[in-house]
Amino acid sequence: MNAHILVIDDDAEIRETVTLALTKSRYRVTAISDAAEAMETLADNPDISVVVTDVWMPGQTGVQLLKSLKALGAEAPRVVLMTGAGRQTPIEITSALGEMHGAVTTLIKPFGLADLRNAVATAIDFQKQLKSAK
Amino acid sequence: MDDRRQIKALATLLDQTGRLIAVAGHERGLHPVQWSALRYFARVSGAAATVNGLAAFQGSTPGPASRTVQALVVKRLVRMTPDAEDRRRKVIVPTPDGRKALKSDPLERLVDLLADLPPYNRAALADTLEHLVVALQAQNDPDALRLSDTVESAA
Repeated sequence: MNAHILVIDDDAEIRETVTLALTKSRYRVTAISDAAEAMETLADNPDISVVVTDVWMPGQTGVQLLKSLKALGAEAPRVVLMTGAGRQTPIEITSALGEMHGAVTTLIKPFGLADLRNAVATAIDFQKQLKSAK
Repeated sequence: MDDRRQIKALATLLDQTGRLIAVAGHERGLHPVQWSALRYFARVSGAAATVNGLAAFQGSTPGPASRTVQALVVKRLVRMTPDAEDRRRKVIVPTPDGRKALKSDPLERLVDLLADLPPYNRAALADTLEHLVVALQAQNDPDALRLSDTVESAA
């Protein structure tokens, strides 16, 4: 069965582009605009194995979401972060904080769709390794 | 350790640790910011592999980022090449010498030192550094406090 991916971005254009690219790669995709809805979406869809999320969103940031996901323990999906320019906070700091809290990698906007697919494939591999190690 | 004099000593120790890390970062005639750029170009591609992408990554502006790239070009550690996805765009990629240099990245020695710490100490250090880096960054970007709710509640 194809992996189920949760995409979170408050920017509709990026959300739709990422969703389309992953759907074309034969993944099943659920997309939401608010990280605050993520935990409920994950509870409703326990087969989601990877979350691709923007970092800077109104309400909850991607880093805050990563911390919430820790509560799910080994069952937590792997996370790929997306972040871009336009902030005073250097991406180097955002990326390091995210990866310190378990993000598989950070995609830096504007990223190529090949990079997106590679990141998701890596996250799925990580998740499979974790499940087989259990 | 709640005496302000002791806390000042801790701050001094942290400051000195930062300087020692910076000195170690001058390996192979590269400045720490140049090492950061070389690592960056080894992990990105497409539109992110440009001077503007580096500037956003390091939180600088195109001027300093361009000088960093030029220094790496002169040292033959990166080169400009047409992007495979868009031939009109030039992207910056590490040369074979650049990839070889990354095998002796000074950051790896710091990774080794941190890996030697017991997990509890490493987790405490992670919490502390997260608090400090976000609180310091918030002086320039108030939104930085929102990046991490642990920091927000502690601040």
